[in-house]
Amino acid sequence: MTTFSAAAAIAGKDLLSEARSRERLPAMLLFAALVLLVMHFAIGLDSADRRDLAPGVLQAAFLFAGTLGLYRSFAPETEAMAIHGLMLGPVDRSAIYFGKLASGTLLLLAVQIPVVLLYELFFRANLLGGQSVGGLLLFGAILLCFSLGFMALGTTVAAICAATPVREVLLPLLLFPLSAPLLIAGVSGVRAAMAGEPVWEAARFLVLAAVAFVSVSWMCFEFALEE
Amino acid sequence: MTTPLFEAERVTRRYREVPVVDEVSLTVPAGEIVGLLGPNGAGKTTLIRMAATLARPSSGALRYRGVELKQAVPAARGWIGFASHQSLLYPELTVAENLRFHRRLHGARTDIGELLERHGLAAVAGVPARHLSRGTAQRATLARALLHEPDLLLLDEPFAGLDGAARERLAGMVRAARGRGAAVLFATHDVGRAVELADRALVLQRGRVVLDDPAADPETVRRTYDTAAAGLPAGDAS
Repeated sequence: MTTFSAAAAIAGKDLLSEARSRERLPAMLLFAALVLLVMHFAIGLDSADRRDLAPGVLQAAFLFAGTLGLYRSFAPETEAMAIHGLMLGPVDRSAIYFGKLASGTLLLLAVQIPVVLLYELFFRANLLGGQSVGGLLLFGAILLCFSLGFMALGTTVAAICAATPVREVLLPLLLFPLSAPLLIAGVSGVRAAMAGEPVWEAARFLVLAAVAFVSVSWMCFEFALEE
Repeated sequence: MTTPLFEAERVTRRYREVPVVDEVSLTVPAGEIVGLLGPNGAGKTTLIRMAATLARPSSGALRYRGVELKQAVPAARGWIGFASHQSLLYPELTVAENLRFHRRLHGARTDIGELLERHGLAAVAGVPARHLSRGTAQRATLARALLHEPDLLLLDEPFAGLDGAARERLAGMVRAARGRGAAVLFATHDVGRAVELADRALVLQRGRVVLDDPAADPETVRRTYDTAAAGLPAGDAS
């Protein structure tokens, strides 16, 4: 079996598990929506800074929702030590990393789409209306690369934390500082989209960051898994 | 001389500089059941985990069919079947889904329906693993470990928590694996079960082999085990 088909099998297994348990997606969605709602009122409806602060709120909602999803991403593997069954597959252990990365990214993307619509509603962001088709595609690429980069880091960090008794504390402590470049580029992309400006610069940076994060995390993953 | 299926040569595993497995050497030829005995902390689980490629030795060599482990993985993992007292099953997936997933992972062509029948699991094929009783979960675990017909079966405390009938069924499966030429290495606390099932018995104490009895003589094994469990030097067994 190739690494690609093993990764596809692992991602499929994760998504089937999630469809049965509904442990991650509803919680991620609800939490992201709550972040938007709380910040909607906290910033103030008449605040002059509202449009400046809004892009950060959206990215923070993604960051928190993604972290919530990562808390449970290794739970099915560790509950009955099913991770040992995976590790005993006669395939490169990269397959475990890419399978987990694919399922995590798909879940975060599934959260991002309704959350962007809610964001439009709460912050009157005009993210989608003010863009050409090309601009919308680039905005989609920003969401995808943010998800990919964040989950690339998160998958390895979650694997490290899964074996520790303080994983709930350790995961954000390790992950948030590492995610800073993604957050900054994401905010800049959303701000440009809201102003009707080209989002090309932010998209390009996020593509590079996603590629770099996937490469580095992939190299570290096997050590995280074994030890 | 035939190449042993599995071979450990002076294997050591240290945790924070403390050796948990200390210069252990053993060979397991095809068609042999080897029982690994020892009190808690003797190093049985660590040795089995290293043999299963789930942990790396700090020093020493592990060989599968004469090939060094480093060169043999990931292919060697296809020769290994591993089961422990934990089910290694996904709790939200049904028994059949768990088995289908592992069949795909191993690239095996096993007929899942036939496998379920053989292990007495047909009635629970559609039941999520979370809802299985201990004995049924263990049968499903064995079915998962055996679905790709491994040459080396590694079992860590496989009898823990099973009732008499389930233990007999498990012993039957282990003998059947030997019958088709597989080698079996199992770790247990249960001396009676070990000497009954094993062709050969090893007793570990504080990470070292204190007895390697090719005849698995019940009296010798029990005496050595009791001495090891009492924490006495190995020489006091005689």
